[in-house]
Amino acid sequence: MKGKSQYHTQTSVPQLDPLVVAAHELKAPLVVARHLTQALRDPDLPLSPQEQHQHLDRLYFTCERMMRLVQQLTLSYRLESDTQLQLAFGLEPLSITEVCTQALHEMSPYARAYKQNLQLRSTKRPHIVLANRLILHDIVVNLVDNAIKHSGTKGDIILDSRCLGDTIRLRVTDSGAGILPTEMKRLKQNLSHQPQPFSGRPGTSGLGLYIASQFAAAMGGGLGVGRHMHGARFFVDLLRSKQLNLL
Amino acid sequence: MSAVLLVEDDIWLAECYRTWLEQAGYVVYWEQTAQTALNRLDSDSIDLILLDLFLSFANGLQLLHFLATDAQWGKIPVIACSSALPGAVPWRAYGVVATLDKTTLTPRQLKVTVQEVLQRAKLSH
Repeated sequence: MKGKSQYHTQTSVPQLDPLVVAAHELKAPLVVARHLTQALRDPDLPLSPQEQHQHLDRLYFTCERMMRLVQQLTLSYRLESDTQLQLAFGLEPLSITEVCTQALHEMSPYARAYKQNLQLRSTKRPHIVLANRLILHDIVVNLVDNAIKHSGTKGDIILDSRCLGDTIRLRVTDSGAGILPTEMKRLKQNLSHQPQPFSGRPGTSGLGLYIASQFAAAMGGGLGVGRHMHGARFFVDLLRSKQLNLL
Repeated sequence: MSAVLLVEDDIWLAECYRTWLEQAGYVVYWEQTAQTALNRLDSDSIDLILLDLFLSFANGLQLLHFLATDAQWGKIPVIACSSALPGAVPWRAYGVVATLDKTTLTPRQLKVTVQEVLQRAKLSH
């Protein structure tokens, strides 16, 4: 497992009030929800039943996204302020495939609304990690959500895992526009520090990624980012469970 | 019929704006990134640009820099659109003739602003 410091590449990021960052992050889905509602209510442009259904679906997914963010923000705040809570994060041996399957099941309708395809590439032997089920689930959901938002339309989002010694690396690869080298540096910076509006990936402060990074660190792991030929690849490094090797 | 280049990286928002503008009678070209927007400017005649300022990678401000330094593109009026417009930016210098706040934007406001900007542009030519 990489040392925590290896995921933290910069130290001179100015900090903004978390409330400001959270407000900015929540504004984006609220703007989408507001516009979709306006389109549904517009008497000058009546929508067909199919279009109405599509708009309502989008409205629902946008609300779900906001709800997820609020819940994770609450947990993130509690993690930062409550040592007892951190200690209560029990780690258990978990199958990466099982956690990812559940998360993808939940995110599939959202991905379909963006005409994107989610794929989980299973390994021959299951990768077992020491993690907290709820926290790992939230990390996967956040990474998939990030990939969906930045893959444009009709893309493939692929989840897979690799064994790297004592670490299992879970990777989420999207087929978006990728990340420029200059942005990559800033993004890596934001993964490990309090997020800043208007940086990281477009249109967001990177708050979801920051939260995922914080959750990964709470389990002794870390979040990272890299480029590949056709988009971006985010990954989370987790402790490999050795107990189940005996099974 | 006037042609509007819509540069917006949020797919669902872009569909809303596109529908509203097409309903008002404009030809709308939609691009998601600054790079594809520049390609579109190369290939089609554009009368107005509706630009989301916080785009993927090369952001809206960088695109404005490109536009401002090009003799032909610099003449195209730009409406900047965002949910968090930076106040300290000298918008006029970048060719931005109007700004729209996404948090309060209505279909009517969008159509009226586009119409006014296009009329002003025609009068000034």
